[in-house]
Amino acid sequence: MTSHISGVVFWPVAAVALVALVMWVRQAVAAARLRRRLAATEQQVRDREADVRIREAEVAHLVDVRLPAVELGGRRPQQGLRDGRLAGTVYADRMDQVVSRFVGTVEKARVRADQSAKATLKAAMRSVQALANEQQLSISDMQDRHDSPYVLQDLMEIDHANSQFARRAQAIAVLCGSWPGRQRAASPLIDVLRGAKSRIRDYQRVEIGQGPDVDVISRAVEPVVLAVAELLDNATRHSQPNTSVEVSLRPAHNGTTIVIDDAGVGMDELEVSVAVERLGGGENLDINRLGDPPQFGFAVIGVLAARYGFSVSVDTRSPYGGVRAVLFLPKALLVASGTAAAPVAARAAAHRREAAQAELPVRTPVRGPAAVPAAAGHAAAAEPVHERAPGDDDVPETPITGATAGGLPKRRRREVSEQQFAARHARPAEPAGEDTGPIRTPYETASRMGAFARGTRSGRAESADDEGTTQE
Amino acid sequence: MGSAPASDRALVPPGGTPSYVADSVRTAAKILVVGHFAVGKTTFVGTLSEIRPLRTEEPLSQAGAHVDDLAGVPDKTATTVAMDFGRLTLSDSLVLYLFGAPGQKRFTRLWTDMLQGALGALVLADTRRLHQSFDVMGLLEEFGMPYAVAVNQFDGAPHFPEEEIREALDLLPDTPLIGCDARDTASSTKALIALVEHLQTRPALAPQES
Amino acid sequence: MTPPRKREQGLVRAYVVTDGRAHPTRNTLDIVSLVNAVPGRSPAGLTPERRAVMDLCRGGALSVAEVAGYLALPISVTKVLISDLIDSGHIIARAAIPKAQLPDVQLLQEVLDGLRARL
Repeated sequence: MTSHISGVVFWPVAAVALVALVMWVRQAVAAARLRRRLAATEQQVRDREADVRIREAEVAHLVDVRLPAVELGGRRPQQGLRDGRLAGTVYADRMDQVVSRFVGTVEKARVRADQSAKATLKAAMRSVQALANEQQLSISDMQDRHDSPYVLQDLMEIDHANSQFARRAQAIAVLCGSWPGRQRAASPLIDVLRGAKSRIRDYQRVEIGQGPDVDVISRAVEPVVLAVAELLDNATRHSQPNTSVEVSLRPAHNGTTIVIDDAGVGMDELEVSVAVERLGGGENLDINRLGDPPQFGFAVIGVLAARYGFSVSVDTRSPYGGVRAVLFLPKALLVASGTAAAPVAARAAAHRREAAQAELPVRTPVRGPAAVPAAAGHAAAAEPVHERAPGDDDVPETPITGATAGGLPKRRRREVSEQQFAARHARPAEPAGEDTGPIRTPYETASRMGAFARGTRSGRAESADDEGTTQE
Repeated sequence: MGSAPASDRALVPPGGTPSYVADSVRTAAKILVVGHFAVGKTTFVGTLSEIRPLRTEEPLSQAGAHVDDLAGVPDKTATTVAMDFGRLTLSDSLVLYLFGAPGQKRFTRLWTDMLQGALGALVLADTRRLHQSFDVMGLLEEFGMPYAVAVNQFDGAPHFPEEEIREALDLLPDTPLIGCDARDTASSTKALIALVEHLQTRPALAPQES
Repeated sequence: MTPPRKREQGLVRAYVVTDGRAHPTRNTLDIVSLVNAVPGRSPAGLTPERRAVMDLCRGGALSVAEVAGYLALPISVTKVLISDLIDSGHIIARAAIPKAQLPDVQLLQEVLDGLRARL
């Protein structure tokens, strides 16, 4: 009987226990799963945090390194991602998009600034060039008018200063995309070199050797003059004042080579590499990167060479120790002397013919009214218009003292005493070997430029040597 | 001294082949023809000269012309003439040069050089603009340069009695006053003759520096 | 003589033409001084403008003013060049009228006779 009872108790207890065990196991399993999931989540969170840190660092890298690198300049290599783990992700793509948009914006701004700077400078230089050209014509006129060594001496100094001034303006204009600004007739190569010599400060140190008998074509005259002038300026500027700069000409089978040797200190590797880069720069020149003070000599030559098809190198050493600059003029820019077919030369020839027709050839004394030009109703009609000098409508200074009965204005004869007469005729002492030469301080020369210099003197004072001191 | 020669090519004068002075000529004299703008100096010199008008100025060519982007910039289109001069061979041994000189006061400096060694000056005047000759006459008087006055007779210009012109110009009694037509060789020659005759009779007041 | 050839004015400036000198080595030259090239003198080694003066004056005598006119050079510059050429024996000058001296009676008479003969 007891066993029966115990049997009755056992089975339910066992069942309950079994259930409890099952429940426990399930619970344990669930708990373990939960723990695992929790651990996984924690790991995920940690990973996410790490990821965020990586991205934050990447953003910081973008702001502090990549974008500034873009701002600082095209020549610097582009910076990539900081952390390689992001490579290939959408995030990295987005970052790159930001960088390239920024690059685009910066470039646009740079181009705009460059264009705007160039446009402003170009416009300014245009008027400066016009003034310098006008002044040069005035100087030539004055040289023609006055037969006096004293006047010539002064005019030469003004002319010399003006020529250098004009060259500077011209160089800046060229860098800003202008043409050199003057159309000239095809000219003998030798005159082209002497023209270049005319535009530098130390022209007396330049010695030009014999050369082939060729002309430079009309279109290339001014560019070659300007390029050679910049080379000569560089050569004289960077060599001792007591040394000469030699220019020699060597015919080549496909053109002519102009070799300019100075006896200066030469250029170091860095200077040479800068020079080579500028000479090869062509039109894509950023005027904002020429330094302060700007050094534009080689850059100008580079632009001209690219535009007109000649080449310049400065990377060899002169046998005199300094720089040897070599400018090669291809045949396309040369023409046999006197056969220039350029339009300007043709026009000049036509002009000459007209002039020849207008002027009677060697006139033997002609007599009688038959010789009078038919059109000359008034004798004054034959007076050349170009006699009218600026200000020729000068008001006469002699006072009119009254009028005659017929209405003619009257004057009073000037009586000059013998003393006055003698004083008037006392001429300055003749030079007698006191030829002091043309060397004057820049200030003296500038002051002689009168009105022209007035506006620029302060600027000149600030940048007395605006080409800097490094060889450029 | 400076650059060495460069090219073997001769530079041919832009003015073309010159007419040379005869080998026998030993003396060259000069007379100034002065007057204000458009009074007829160029015509006068051209009428008498045996060489074509030769100015110390090149006809304005493309030399000063600006191209492309300098267009529109105010540019000088004409240059000024220095002076015109002409030559007359007067005998086997003598040539006379005539120099036309502008009469403006501001050309005084130019005068002092040209007056050196000149025999005398012929003042060309225009009765329609007589006062424009006053400065030039005053200059000649200051320099002590003897002169004669030739009134260039322009077509249509009013005629004045000689006495009235003398009064207006305040001429000394012995200063010649001649009418002339600068286009006419004989008339222009006579004006020069009047000047030289006057030079012959002039008292010996030295016009040059001592 | 070779045909006239246009020379670009204004390219080579006066100070380069004279190497910076404005004063002639002699002050005896007047605008009407007559100058000649010395026969047989070679222009070799001369600068282009000096050579041009030589070429121009080889055919006969011209006044300084004419030389300046033909070469389109200022008279003052021409005087410097001609003085140099006289010094180097390339050019000779015939006497112009003497300066600082009254034109003599005989000269005036000659001028007058010459002018009258033209009428």
